[in-house]
Amino acid sequence: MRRNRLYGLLAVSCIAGYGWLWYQLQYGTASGSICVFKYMTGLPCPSCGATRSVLSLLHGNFIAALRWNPLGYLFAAILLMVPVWLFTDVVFKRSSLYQAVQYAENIIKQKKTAFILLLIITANWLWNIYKNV
Amino acid sequence: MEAQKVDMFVMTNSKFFESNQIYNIRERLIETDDSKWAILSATQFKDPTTILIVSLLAGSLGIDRFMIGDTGIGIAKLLTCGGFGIGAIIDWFMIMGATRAKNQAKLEQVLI
Repeated sequence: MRRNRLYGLLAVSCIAGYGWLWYQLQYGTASGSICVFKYMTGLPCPSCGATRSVLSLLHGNFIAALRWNPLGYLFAAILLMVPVWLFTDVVFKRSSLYQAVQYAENIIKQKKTAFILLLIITANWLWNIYKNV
Repeated sequence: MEAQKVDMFVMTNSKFFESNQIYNIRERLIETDDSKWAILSATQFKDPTTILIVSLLAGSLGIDRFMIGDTGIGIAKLLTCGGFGIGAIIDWFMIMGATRAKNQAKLEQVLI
């Protein structure tokens, strides 16, 4: 993937993420889930509960956030970091974020890290199913 | 390479590439040295139809993107319920083209 394509995709995802958060803050989390996997199988997907986790973080409930879904911390970090990084990269015409993403992708592609990440995600998923988020 | 070999390759592998690229691929292969034939005929390409089936069934977990080697997008889809549900649906239409593009890149790598 080329730099501009990735940046466009990241910008759209960040806007979508913030829009979704704003919608949830406005109308409450009871307004329903968008998870296709949950609708199809009735089971929560690995990242179900992440919105409620980020909303808990916004309200300062760090333990509740961890209980909803630990991935919420990752999402909060990405949502805070990526827009700033993206903006400075575009303004100064650099591609440090692009290089960082490629570097991370190469690390993740290695068998060892991929296996560990897979274990973590699966464990989190099983916990999600157990909690019935 | 001999035209006969190239035609055989194009015939058996045309479904892996964009149809507008087939002519280009044929021309490039004819110019290519014969020593590439062994590695070329041993190269495995991803079938777009198979990936589409995977995308329909497990697209919201990003498995389709992992299979064609787009690890970054795969993780993004896995961690966001398939890109907020919309990304999975968009990928039902994009994934076949993406697979063919990946196959094209793989072919380029072999030919260089």
